[in-house]
Amino acid sequence: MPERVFVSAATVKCPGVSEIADLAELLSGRKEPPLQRFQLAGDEVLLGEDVPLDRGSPFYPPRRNQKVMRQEVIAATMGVCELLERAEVPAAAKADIPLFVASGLSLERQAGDLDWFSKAFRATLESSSSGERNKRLGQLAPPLLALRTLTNATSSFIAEQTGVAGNNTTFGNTSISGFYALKEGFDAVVSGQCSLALVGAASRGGVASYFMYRNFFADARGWRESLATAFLLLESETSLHERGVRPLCELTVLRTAPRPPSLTRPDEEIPFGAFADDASGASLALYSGAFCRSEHQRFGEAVATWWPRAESLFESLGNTGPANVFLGILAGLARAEQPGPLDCLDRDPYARECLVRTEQVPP
Amino acid sequence: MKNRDRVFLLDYDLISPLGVGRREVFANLAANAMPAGRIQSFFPDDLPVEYAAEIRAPVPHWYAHEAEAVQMAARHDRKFELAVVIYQLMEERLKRVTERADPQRTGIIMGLGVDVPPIELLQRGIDRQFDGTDDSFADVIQMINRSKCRLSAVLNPYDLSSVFIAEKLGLAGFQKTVLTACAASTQAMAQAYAALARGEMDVVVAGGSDSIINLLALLSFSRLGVLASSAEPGSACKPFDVNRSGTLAGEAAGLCVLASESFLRATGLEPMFELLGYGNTLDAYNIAAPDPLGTGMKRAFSAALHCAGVRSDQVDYINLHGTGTRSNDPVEIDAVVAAFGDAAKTIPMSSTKDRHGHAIAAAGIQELAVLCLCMEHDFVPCNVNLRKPIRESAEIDLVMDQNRNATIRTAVTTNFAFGGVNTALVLRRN
Repeated sequence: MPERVFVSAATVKCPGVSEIADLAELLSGRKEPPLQRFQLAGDEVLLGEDVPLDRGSPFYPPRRNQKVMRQEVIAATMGVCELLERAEVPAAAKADIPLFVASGLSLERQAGDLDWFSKAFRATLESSSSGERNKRLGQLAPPLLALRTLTNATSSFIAEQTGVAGNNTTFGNTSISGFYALKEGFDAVVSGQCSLALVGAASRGGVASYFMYRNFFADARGWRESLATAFLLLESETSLHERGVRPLCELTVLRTAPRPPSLTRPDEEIPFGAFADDASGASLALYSGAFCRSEHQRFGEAVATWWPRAESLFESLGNTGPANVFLGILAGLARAEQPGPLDCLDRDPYARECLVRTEQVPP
Repeated sequence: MKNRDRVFLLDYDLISPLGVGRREVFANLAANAMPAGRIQSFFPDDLPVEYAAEIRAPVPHWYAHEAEAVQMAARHDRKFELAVVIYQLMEERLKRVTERADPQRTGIIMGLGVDVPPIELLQRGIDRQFDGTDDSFADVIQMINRSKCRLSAVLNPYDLSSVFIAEKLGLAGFQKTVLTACAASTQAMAQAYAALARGEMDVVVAGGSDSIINLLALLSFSRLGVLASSAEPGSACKPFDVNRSGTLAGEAAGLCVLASESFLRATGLEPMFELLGYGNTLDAYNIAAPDPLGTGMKRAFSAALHCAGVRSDQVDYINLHGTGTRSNDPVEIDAVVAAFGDAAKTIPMSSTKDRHGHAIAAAGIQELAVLCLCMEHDFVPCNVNLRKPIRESAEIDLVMDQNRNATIRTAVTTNFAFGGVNTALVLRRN
């Protein structure tokens, strides 16, 4: 008999957001979008990079770790520490909890600051031979560069700081990887392999991400991206009863659009059309995946065709990469007054789509 | 997992410093070939380490018929290039299996390494345009990055390789990319096992591709002190030797085709091996070094044996991670002894990284392919460069001096990663 799967605790950290209720403020437009304007290669780009982190928190990383922790890794690690404390997960259970993470690009700190690479390229200009260039680059290379760019840094630091040490992986790095992390944890709980699973994403967004995804879109006007981290504690119904915990919501449907992606074929699919038959069962759709305004409008028009109501965090945060699907779920929680099932829809740059349906739990 | 389906390996192949394709790889394995040498793919002058285990075979002809954008990306991103080559090498064999499956019940999982901006390519743009300001740096990137499709010359999503293969084969179920460094492709196969065992998929193509033979990676790993230095490249990497000084930079790509028992029953396809199970844990210790107690590694071995339903004394060979670094090897040996108990004294075990180098995210698929070859040929490879083992032979059977001939029916392969990721797979010859 498959277990029902619930979200029993959650954490979110992104610009202007340190708790779930903040997402409602952003959705309603009562809060100003926390994005900053940059000019990049002729495009105006809006980026959300500053996350409110409490440096006095007992979970703020020690100095020895800060040197190798990217901003999103710090935010994710602190968030999960807070989540596990709030959820009162017994220490003895932590070693067996699975941890499935989705990670965005891990080069941001270098390319975003433009410091190391800029210096490196200056060195190449000023070198008369490959040997001289290599020597100079060797002198310039930060000693911990390999660790700072480690793609699984988020899961490593979460494990180190919390003791979570079970089955695990890190998926990357377009937004569909967030769905894959969620699904892996969901399947582990639904099949009875475990009663608790941690799933989430840490995404940096920013300048390097802009260069990575810019070619996907003919019209990049209104480009928006934000750093974001969001994690959920998934829990079986049996465990909820045993621990006497009231869940935040139930996960009832997790699906992907049934088609292979393409590297070169034009994206002519109607966004989220694969899920049109599901739409009538939901009261609200929260959609994500757009990087630029024209794409956001295209997604919004398609979703409004089938779902009774559609909302998006695009204006406030833009694309948050692998965190999209988690922010969708949490934004749904922030919309607690909305009755009925809620669909979170996401589409990655390769037009891979997912649907996650959440249902409120009666008091 | 209750009521799980059994998972079988139908096919596999590899492009490695040991060769292109299974036959060449095994011939070089059996001959104790040591492909390490001075780096030829770029100018390594005055780097702390100037040698590596490179794939020297020319490969562009494998993708000369692909779209120009694919060729461009392959020229600039070695990981993607090797992924395209291994796909082309196996294309007909892959299609023979995947075409018999429901596309929505087929998937791909690839372990991939970190992105490396192509410095030498960027340098050409910089020489022309860079004036030393951050704005002009961005303009240079954008100029080089100009393209009329979803492929970039500078940075691509890590998903590039899995999306490429999924599109070719019509794999619609999922297209995942695993980013757990040295354990990435091992975890890719573990995740493939999980998807097949729980009945989510019928066929999953799993594997990985990576190369750390580039300027940025060599500088990064050199600064961490994990690359061996030696006047003799062939003897630089010495896993489990008291005089080890680091690992050997490598590169590889490989794929295997995994399928559920129910799919095999429906199609009549014959498997080569059964993937019996996996163990997968986190150290929860430190990003840069393994837990000196080896608790996570031991739990991975034990979980793998438990998942596989195999006793430790039923294991005929272990292909160890054995990087040749100061920190990994003794902890790994302690974990093996703790997990396998007395059986560790009689199970032959070795690392083959002294031969083909460390392919990081592709280490798992490279070593699984090597293991499959060993099982097919009743061949137990020795640690070629092992002279003074870190543990007494009475405690553990580290194969040294010469290769052995022995039947390997059940075997374990394992990989551990920066960040404290530990993954082990158990395989049985069919």
